[in-house]
Amino acid sequence: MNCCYGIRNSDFVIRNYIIMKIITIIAIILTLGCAVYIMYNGLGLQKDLDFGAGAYFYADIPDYEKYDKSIETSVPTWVHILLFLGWGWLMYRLWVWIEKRGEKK
Amino acid sequence: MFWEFRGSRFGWEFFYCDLCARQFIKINISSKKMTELQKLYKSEDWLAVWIGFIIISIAMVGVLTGAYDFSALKFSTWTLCEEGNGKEVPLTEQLESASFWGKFFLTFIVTGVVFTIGAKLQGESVRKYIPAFVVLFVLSLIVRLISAEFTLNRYLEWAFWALIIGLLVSNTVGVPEWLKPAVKTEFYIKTGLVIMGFSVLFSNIAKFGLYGLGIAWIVTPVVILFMWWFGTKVLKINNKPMVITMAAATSVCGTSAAIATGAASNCKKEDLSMVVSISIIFTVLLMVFEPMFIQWIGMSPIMGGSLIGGTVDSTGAVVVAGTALGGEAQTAAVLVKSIQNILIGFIAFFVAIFFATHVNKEKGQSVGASEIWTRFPKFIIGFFVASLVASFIVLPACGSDNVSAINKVLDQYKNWAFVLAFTSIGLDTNFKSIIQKMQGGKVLWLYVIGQVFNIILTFVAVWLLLSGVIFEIPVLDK
Repeated sequence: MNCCYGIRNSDFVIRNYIIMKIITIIAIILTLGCAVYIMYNGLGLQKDLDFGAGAYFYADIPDYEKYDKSIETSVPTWVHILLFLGWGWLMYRLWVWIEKRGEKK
Repeated sequence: MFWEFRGSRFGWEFFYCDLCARQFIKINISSKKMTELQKLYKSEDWLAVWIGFIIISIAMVGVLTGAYDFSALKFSTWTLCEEGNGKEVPLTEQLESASFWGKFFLTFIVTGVVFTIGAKLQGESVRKYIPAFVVLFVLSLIVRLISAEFTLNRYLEWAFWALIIGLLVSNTVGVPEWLKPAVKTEFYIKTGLVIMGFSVLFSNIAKFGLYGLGIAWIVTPVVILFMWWFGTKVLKINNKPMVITMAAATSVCGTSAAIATGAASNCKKEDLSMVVSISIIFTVLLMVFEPMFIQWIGMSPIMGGSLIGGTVDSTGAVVVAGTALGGEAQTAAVLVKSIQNILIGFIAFFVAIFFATHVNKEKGQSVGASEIWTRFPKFIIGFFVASLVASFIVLPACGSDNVSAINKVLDQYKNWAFVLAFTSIGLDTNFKSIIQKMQGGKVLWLYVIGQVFNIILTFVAVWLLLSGVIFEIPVLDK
């Protein structure tokens, strides 16, 4: 009985693996096809802007500063920095906890 | 002399033995005891820090005194076909200008001198490094030329073209032995990251008030932790540096975050190139489909822009996608992205600490402070010092206009360092190993599931903060 169950179980795993592989290949083809179609037809671009997704950081964007406008805020910058560091520390502790929990298992 | 030094790669030094005639002897560099003082001027990390600081200092003095122009070479947009937007400069016109060649020689000499000195101090033979660097520089020049073409630079970052050119060379004609001394990916990446530190200004944290902090900073680490858990525990991917590099690229800002986190976690070159390629391809899709989806569901421009800023990877794509929804959306998108860009250094810092204390150790082993210091990638200190100096010394003393002018100069040197690095990765990689690194598609699903989670969580944060249901909606300049 155990033996039959084992065979059925391994068939199930192999079938799932093949299905997953087919889905992955379809996803890759669809993604690449979609990207090529977008690029070939020039979709999503703005005529007034002399750049696109190829501009990866400030350096590649002409006059980047003009897009970067701030808003009035009554909260001082140091409060932002404190919240920033506090949340970062909390998340780091959580990360350590996730890893240690995984190790114990 | 019996032993002749033949260069170093992957932490090993290669020597040729005259007596044995053919035999190469390998000595693990890490096994050779370097004193702390020697590490300061011989180790790759510290050399990257000093080179970065030298370039930052020269650029700063040049801009602030106006005594000289230190700008590196950058191709203006050019086009092969007729359909440009009228802003392109024909390639022949660029090549005929004296300033082009002036900047070309300046860039070649500056990068050539600093990296040759760096290579020499690491034990590389100058005689062998220089010709190899010249060829690598020419390949990088081709990459930058291609990535400035009107159609090509609209969608794909130069990192993609650098990988393609490198891969084409290594997988067709092959990489000759004499070119290998210049293939120093990590060295170029670390130097570029230290230079990049100067452009990361802490003042950007408060630019969108608590709204921006809530959208960019609350969500980002949660997405990273989710992808870490999903990648390592659910998909059971053993390659932890790759998982964290993918998580940072997805949740922070694509290529830059991948480079920084990859260097901090010691991610393999093939993994980094795969993560960057996946991020670049999906950025094209997100840039087009996300604004469409936002318009379709009728989200307000400020919410839509913030969602784009928090989820689209590259900064250029964020501006373009935000602009598709109007001026207010564009501003919101750029503000959120600016905050995310600050996160690069912090995330790289915590990743380095985490990997030193929890990943790169034996089970049950506790890692002391001195061991953490030994394992900690020192270039991150350089990144932070550059960022702190720019944010708290140069910005208050010289004003934002001067800091922007300095960063315009520095950004091109950073780009050159990264182009040299990505061309090196391509030269050092074969197609087969990239396919193997896909791990039967797990890596792709890690990105897709992580990005979907990122979009949902950012949407929740945007709705809570900017829908007007709980908090007052801020007014942005259009």
